Amino acid sequence: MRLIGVTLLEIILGFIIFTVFLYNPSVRYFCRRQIEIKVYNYQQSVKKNGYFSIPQDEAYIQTLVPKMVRECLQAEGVDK
Amino acid sequence: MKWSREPAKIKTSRLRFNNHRFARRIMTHLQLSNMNLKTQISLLIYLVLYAVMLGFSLSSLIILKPFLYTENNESYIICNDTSRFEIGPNFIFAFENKLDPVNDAKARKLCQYKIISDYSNVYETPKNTNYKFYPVLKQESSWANAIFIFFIMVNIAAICIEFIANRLLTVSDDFRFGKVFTNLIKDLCG
Repeated sequence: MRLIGVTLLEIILGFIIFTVFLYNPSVRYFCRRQIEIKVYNYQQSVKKNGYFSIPQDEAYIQTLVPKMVRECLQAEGVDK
Repeated sequence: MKWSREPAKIKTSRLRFNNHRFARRIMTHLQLSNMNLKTQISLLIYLVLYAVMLGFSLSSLIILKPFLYTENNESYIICNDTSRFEIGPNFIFAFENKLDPVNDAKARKLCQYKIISDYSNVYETPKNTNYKFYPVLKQESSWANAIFIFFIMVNIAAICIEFIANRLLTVSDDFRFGKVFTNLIKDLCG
């Protein structure tokens, strides 16, 4: 019975730590990862024909990245 | 001014009293009052370590949760003259289900003049849309992956915490819920 009580207390404490301290950074990391995978996918698709991605495209993508990250955070309910 | 402050003071003291009663109830329920200070602190460290571990494991669920992305290698456009072009290899990209204005212009020029990488705008962009975009969506990661990593993290962290508890902490076996994980590993290893 004591073990069950401690386990329940532990789970509640874990959820509190996660919600208060770790949820926000996790979502931010998730969004960064998502955008980087999308950009990497484009860079790989360009290489299919033996080319490297063009600097103009790279510069344009860099201007899109912060906007995409912001949209992702808004969709996840972190950045309002 | 005095009138407005007094109710707030009463509220705070009630809250403290209630918290105190709650803490006492937990202590009575878990029979913590019978322990000495060293054991109580050991138990507290043990609980905090597990709570932090659980928090980080839950974070892995968020970080590895699945999402859809447009596969630029396989997505394509079909022009009004029925010619078909894959977007990525032709320097057109989509991060969503549709093309943004810059890539829309590239697609229009590709369909109209059959040219790519006209970054200096030698050709005029056609005024009307002359293609249809067919995105191919793919899923990155999955809930099964995320849950698998969650359990791996919980197990590895539990083994580390139990190792620390064995060496440095004096936690009674009645509270060692983490032993489930170490026993499981022992059983699996024979």
